[in-house]
Amino acid sequence: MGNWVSDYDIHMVRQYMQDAVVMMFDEGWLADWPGELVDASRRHAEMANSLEPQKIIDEFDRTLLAARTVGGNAEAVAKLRVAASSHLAGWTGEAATAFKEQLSKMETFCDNQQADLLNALQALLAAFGVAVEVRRSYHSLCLATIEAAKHEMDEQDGRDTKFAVALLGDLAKGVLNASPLGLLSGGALETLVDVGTHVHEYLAEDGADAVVAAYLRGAKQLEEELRDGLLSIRSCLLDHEQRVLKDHAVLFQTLPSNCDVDSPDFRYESFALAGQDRPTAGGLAPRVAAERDKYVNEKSDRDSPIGRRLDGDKGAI
Amino acid sequence: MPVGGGFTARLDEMECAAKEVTGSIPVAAALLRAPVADLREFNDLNGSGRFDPAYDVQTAYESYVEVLAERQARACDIMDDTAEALREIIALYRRVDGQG
Repeated sequence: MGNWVSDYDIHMVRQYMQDAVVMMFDEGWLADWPGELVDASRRHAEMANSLEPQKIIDEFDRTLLAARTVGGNAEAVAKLRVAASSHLAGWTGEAATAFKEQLSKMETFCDNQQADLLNALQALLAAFGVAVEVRRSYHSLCLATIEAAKHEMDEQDGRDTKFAVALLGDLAKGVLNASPLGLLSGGALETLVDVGTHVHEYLAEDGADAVVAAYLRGAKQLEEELRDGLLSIRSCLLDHEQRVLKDHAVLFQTLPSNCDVDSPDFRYESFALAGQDRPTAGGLAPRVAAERDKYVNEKSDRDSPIGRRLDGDKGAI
Repeated sequence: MPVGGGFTARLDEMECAAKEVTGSIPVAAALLRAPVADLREFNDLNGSGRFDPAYDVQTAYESYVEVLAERQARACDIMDDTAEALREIIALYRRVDGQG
């Protein structure tokens, strides 16, 4: 169990808060039955428990692992591209160029994919901060309301009627606007969200009616903050998704048909020796074309039912 | 009849490139493919309560990650296809060079 207010504690503190307010009515401090508070507070507790921090941590860990794997692959692919491009340097033509470009696109893809996974992690981090802080804020509000109700009934001074509503909208935007690169180094989620500066102090007022009013006002403010924070996270995710969907540029085209030996578009000229190594006697193009025809026919025969049967596939015919 | 000379020499070099591509790319593709299933393992972020904007966030998150998982899976297929295409060109040119 992490360092956040549990679902159980939220439900219990809401119940104690309701009991304290109802006691004010039973003992004559409140003129009217606090029906609005009783009804609304159940919804407020549901709101506070709407996101589960542990599930966010689990999802964060899974996505972080994927981002690290993709990043590690980017380095491997970069080395591969350099090595393979060097070996392919003696070849020219559209297909040879397409192969070299494809290696470069693989490297770019890994970099982009990691950056986009980091965006997902950043959204989870913001959601985690909001989930933890809405629980803490609601718990604080209920405790302050309990103390304020007791203060009304026993008129004892010195009760702690302060409560703190986290500015969840600012919190979410702050996390979303930070650089996500630090997320790769990991660390506990609790330590990655700076929430200390985003808290607004509040004070329950004197008078039983004022206690009820202060609770409702604080809960409404908390709801607005939560809605603001969550809308920011959702909006950010939708923007990222739209951008990714529009990004067809990198790697997502298969190689052109002149890179495919099976295609009639394949020509020696599109994957030919460069410069002085180019053979001259008779030219290679006709020999490659003739051999390609034979090669494709042999493959076709191998892929035919008879060919598969000859290769030992008894179910072929 | 072997083409010989520069063709054979360059073919040997291309073979080296192919070893990088047909050897390393499938490994890279397999590494990239492994976390795709993990990304798609998403369950939910729900607590015991309910607040519609929280539900909307997890729907948006799930959709975004699915787009990324789909893109990653497709990239792996393209990487494998690239390796296979180069392997076939080398096989063809080896035959032209009388080695196939």
